[in-house]
Formats: sequence, structure tokens, C-alpha cells
Amino acid sequence: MCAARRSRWPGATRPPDGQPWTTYLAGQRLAKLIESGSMPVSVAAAVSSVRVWAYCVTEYLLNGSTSTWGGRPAVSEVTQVASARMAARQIAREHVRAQLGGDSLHGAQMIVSESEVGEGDQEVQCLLRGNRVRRFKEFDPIPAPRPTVRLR
Amino acid sequence: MDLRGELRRAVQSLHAAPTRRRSTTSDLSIDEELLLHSIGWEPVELVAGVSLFSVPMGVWNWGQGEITSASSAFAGAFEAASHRLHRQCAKVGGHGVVGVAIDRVVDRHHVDVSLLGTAVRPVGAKRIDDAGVFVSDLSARDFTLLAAAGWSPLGLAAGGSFVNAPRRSIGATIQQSSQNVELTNFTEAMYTARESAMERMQSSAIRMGGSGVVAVSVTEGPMPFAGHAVGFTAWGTVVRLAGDAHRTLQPSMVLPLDDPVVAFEAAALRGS
Repeated sequence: MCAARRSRWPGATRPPDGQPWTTYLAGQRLAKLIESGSMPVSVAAAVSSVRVWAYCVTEYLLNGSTSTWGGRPAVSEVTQVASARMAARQIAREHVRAQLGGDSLHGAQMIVSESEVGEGDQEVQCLLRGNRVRRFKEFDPIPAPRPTVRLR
Repeated sequence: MDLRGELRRAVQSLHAAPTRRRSTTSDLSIDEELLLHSIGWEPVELVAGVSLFSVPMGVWNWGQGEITSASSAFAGAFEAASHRLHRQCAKVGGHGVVGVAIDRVVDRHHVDVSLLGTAVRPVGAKRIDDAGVFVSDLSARDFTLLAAAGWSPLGLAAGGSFVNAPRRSIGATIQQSSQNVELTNFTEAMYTARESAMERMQSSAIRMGGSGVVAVSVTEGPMPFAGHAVGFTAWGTVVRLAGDAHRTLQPSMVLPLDDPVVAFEAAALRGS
């Protein structure tokens, strides 16, 4: 039988409001982050979802039909969908930015998925997540890296 | 390194409000960010560029030679996505974008290109004119090495070509039946596609004023939705010499002494 024992880093400081800080990082990456002057605050994530209510011309272009509507050539940008995809990314970025409150987002990962609802209608979803970090000191001057070749 | 002391100081910072006025977002790793700082650059913002071009119905199955509609759609989508990335970078005050992840999908009726990267600038530098902004798919490590060698990235160059492999004549089909022979129509179509795509990428690099294209990625092969069409796409970062001459990096040799130990397998004691 073994008993679990709570341990505490001697001299560790309690985080504000008792809220533990969270991060995707661990081990040497976490050590490097702190050593470089940033402290993880929390995992930050935001999702945006944009619905495309397709115009006739969008539907035609996505189906490969040549439309004479508006004199569009057969090979042309499907602007409605392109704008929606741009908007999804931008909104996710704005949402995550709203959570940062002056901190920075580090090691961000963006995952975009699109699903066709039918007749050109689409739903674009964008998930943006990363580590919210706070700078507690400026970057120490770093010498220029010295290139090496690893012999194996 | 006094990690414990640093951690204590870092945790203390959570009690205070953040000091930086403008926050940054980036998809760079901590190593990449440190590398950028070592040459006096910093990340600014995560930026994206997306475009989607239509391809008309029926072009993949009938016709001979290059499928010009598909090739133009690829070129148009890449250019539009790159232009948007460029514009976003200039808008957020970046001087360039590094580590651009390129995702491209060639579908029966449309070609999609999406680009995602981190806008960077020299530490504390002011906004520059759109024309001076570069876009590059080089990682921060490659960007640092390139800068150290006296070169600078200019932009992304791409070329794509899609070609119909002509159908064999009845005579040729009968002659080749039950034989293991090369289908030269596919080989030639691939050569044509490759030549055109590489030529387009090189022309794009010349238009930007570059002297070379590095980190070129290519995709090639038959189209999964069209039995007689093959495609070849290529993209890379256009570079040019920033100074008077190339600086040799002269890397030093490192011999790691941490050879992996062959693991002992207890099961081996049992014999076979």
C-alpha cells in the first residue's frame, strides 16, 4: 500500500487568486520559455464559425458550371467563400486576442474545418489555441547562433 | 541557470497586470523565437491568406495537352492568397512573414490555397511600405541562417501545371495488353507538367527580382478524380543576395557522445 503525498516546491509562490497557471509546454520547452523571460498564464483558445449563404454565382462556380451571371469567367475566384474563410481566421484571432489582455499568444495552432451544408452553402470553423504568456523580463542579449554540423 | 529563482520571479509577475501595451500572437516555437531575437527580429502577429478559384466542369476528362483552366486556377489562387498574406502582414506592422504553412487542395471544381505564418519585424522597427514586405515559407531557423549568410527572402514563387495524358489508340492498347510496358502517354504528360510548372515558378522568381528559389516543395502525380490527368505543383521562397557577397558560415563539427544504448530485452532470456 502506498500513500499519496502532496509536495510543494520550497519557496514557490502561490499564483494569484489560487488559480494555477496552465500551458501545453512541459520539460525543457517550459524551462526555456521561463529562462527567456516569459511566464505561462493559461491555455488560450477561441473558436469562430462562419456560415456561407451561397449566392447563385457561388453555387454555380463551386459546381463547375459556367455561369453568365455578371459576366464571370469560368475560372475565377469564389469570393464569397474566400471571404468567409478569411473572416473565420480573423474572428478567431480577434477572439483569442480579447482573452490576452496585453499578454502574448505563443506556439499558436490554427485548425480550420469546412463542411458543405448543400447547394453551395458552407460552414467554416476555425479553432485557434496556444499558450498565453506574460513577459516578466526583457530578452537578455543573445549571441548570434553558431552553426554546427552533427556527426553521426 | 537559476531556474528556481526565475520561476519565482515569473510567478510573481502573475500578480501584476501585463506590462506590454500590444500583445503578439505567433505560431513559432520557443527555439524559433529565441533564434529570431538573436538576429534582432521579433514576432508580431499570426497572419493568414486564403483563396479559392473555380475550375469549370468537364476539363479533367476530355481534351489534349495542358488543362489550362486548372493551371490558371492554381496560379490565381496562389497569387491571391499570397497577396492577402502580404497585405495582412503590412497592416499589422510586420516586415515579412516566416514559417508560412502552405495548404493546397486541387478538387474537381475548385483549387484552394491557404497560407498561415507569423509576421516578423526587426525589434522595435516601424511600419514599412507594402512593397518592402516579404513572404517566406522558411522556418525561423532557415531565415536566421539565410540572414547570416547575407541573403534575404523576397516572396513566395509557385508554379502549377495539369496535363491530360492522351488515351492510347486501339492498336496500341491491343499491342500492350497483357504486357508489362511503360505507358509513355503518362510519362510524357508528367514531363510536360513538370517543365511547365518549374518554368512558371522560375518566371515568378525572376519577376520578383530574385536570383534563386530555396526550400522548393513539389507535389506530383495523377489526379484522384480524373483517370487521365496528371499534375505537378512547385513552390518555394525567392531569395537574393542582400550584401556584396555571400558569407560562408563555416559550421563547426560536433560529435555527440550520447550514443543510444541498445535496450536490454528481458524476453530474449527465454530463448525461442
